[in-house]
Amino acid sequence: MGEITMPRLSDTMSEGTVGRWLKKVGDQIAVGDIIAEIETDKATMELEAFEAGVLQQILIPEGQTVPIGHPIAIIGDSATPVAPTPSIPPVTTQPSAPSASAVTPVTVQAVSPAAVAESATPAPAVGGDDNGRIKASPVARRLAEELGIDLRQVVGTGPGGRIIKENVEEFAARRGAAVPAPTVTPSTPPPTPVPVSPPTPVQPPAPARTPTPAPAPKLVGAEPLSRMRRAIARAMTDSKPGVPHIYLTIEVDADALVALREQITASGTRVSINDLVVKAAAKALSKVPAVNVSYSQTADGQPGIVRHSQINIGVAVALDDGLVAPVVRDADKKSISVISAEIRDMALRAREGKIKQQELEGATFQVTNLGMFGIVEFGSIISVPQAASLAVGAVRKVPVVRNDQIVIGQVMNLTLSADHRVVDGAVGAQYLQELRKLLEAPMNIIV
Amino acid sequence: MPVITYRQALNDTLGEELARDPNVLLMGEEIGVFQGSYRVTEGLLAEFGPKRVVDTPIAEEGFVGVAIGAAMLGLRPVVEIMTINFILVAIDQIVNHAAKIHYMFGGQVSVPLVIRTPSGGTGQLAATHSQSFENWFAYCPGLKVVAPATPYDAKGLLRAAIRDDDPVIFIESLALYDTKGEVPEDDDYVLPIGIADVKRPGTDVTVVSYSRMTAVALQVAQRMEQEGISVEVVDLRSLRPLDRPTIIESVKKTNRAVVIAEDWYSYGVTAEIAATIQEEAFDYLDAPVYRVAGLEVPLPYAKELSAASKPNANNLIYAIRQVMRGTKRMR
Repeated sequence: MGEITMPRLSDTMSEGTVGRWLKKVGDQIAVGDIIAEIETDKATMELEAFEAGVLQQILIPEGQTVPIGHPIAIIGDSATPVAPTPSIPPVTTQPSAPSASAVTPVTVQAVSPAAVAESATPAPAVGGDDNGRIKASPVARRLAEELGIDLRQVVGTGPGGRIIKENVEEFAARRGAAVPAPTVTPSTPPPTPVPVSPPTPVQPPAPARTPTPAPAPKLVGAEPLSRMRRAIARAMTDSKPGVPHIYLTIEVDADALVALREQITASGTRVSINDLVVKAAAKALSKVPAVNVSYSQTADGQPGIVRHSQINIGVAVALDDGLVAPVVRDADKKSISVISAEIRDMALRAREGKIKQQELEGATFQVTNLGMFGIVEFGSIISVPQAASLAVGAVRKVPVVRNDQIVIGQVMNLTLSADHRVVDGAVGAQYLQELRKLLEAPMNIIV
Repeated sequence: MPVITYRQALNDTLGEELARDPNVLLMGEEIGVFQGSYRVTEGLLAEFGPKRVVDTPIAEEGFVGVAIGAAMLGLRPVVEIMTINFILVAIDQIVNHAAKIHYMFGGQVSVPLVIRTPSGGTGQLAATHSQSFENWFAYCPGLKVVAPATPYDAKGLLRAAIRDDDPVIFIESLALYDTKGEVPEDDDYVLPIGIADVKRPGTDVTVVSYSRMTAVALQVAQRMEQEGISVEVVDLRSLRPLDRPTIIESVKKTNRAVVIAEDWYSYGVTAEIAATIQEEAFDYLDAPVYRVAGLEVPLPYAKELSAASKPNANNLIYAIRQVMRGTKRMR
């Protein structure tokens, strides 16, 4: 009887995910058979059997990530398959080997503390260094492991961006506070810690402002990200700390939309262009649900994604001294008149300061409109934990080409900001396409 | 409880032990008629006479050897070496004889010898008179090395050393002789050798120290408290045996450690403590273990240089701030 362990499939690989089992428990395995697909940080690779026998146990289910060397299945010579006993592997997001620099005692001689200052050159903190190694104190590492926290998401405030115990504790406290009931609760982004050098005889260089990663609250129902998705998320965060936004702008022919609105208004119902856009945005989300998601953490602290079953649109409302985004719940299922009434009611109460907190919570997508100010187009900031936000520009008359003639047309620019960790450009573009289709043939919004 | 000086605590203890046990005798340079270079043996010659308080020639190797022989035959000599700098000529007697005899003679004979000597100092005593060598002896199996920081500990540990059947190197400090502390009267307490003492409880950082540096650490701990940093001071009291569990327990609580000692940095006592901490409390560390120790130079005579060559409160504060970097208190 032999164990099949997570193989090292690349030099940089420290852990792998069982992508797919290609053999079942009880299957005869011949040497050279492909028994599973393993996802690494770079690619999906095939796992070949090096011994023959019967697949007796699958220890690691599909989608689970384990460090290299961890047993994932057992091959035996018995023809009788053994009932699988799934073992929950230790969640290791990092090689557990401690970093040498974290424990190297540092000289403080009576009169020459300069050596210390030299060794304490600060560096940006999040996500580890170029080699993916995360600088964390041993106790921070141990605590993170105990709490199931992925250190890559923790901002280190220690020397050189080292993650210290306090950072993990603060992260855990935030994460704990951000675990909501059934729906998604927007979590407050963490304050950006600004490490300040202690007033010491020899001042170490002032550390650069440490970027804060986008908080990844633990949301109910989060499923683990695929290896590739994770790598993208990490790369995006490295490049643009916080939520790595991408912006996609599309021009919509608004003639039909304006005409429809005039028709509805003429019938005595008050409806704004924005109401129609909100409804269309919700409907487009039901067609492209990949945008209606949240970057999150799984229960065991791994990077994850939540695919929302509800479509709740936050509608940004400007106040005298700020803005709020009351939420139209199930906007895809509500009629345009109901959406319009809800937005009007909530906006009014928001301006009067009478909006309830729960009416501001649970959005899965946001619509922001600055068209009334004549803004042609803009990029909005995503409200965590949403993964996308739609910025609506003004409907304006411009010369357009129709049937090879320059005529006066009405256009509206829409810009989608998307969290690139979970929403790629092509998906966002697909969504905008769908949205444009709806807005240019707006009867489809209503029916 | 009466408050007395460290010197008085030693003097009282020597007198009491001389009175308690007729086998106890004192030996050393200038300890009798001159009453001790640092007045630790003041009045003892007059009280106990020249057979119990023996002035020796300036010949450390010789009289330490005499004391070892006397100890082997049942006496309990307490030898004073004027400063630890002069112990070097006697080191063969101590390391190759006192420390080995019990072992090499199959346990047939013990060496109940105490060598008292002040170590370190910043008093412009220059290169050959300001050194710290306790680590040389703490390094040697077969010896016990104690280094009390307070009058109370000095008394309890000197009693323990005199009543111990093995050779004990008893480290004092010129700067501590005039320090004061509470010592109970008419209380025959004995402090077991090898037990460290948490001199001040704290939660943020452990400072490990002994002898004079414990006084520095306590003073710094008080100052750091005003900055909101809670310092726990672990006073080793004994370098061999070393009370590792107390150090580790403290570091597990605070997750941070600074070790301070007066000896030179490389191969010094701080290295041993730091190594112990990383071995036994690695998973509890939130910062590298910092060491504060003497500058690695022949110790200078000039007043400013002499002071600068030894670790002081500012060095310790600097190190504490270093290990606290990145915490809320320092942000």
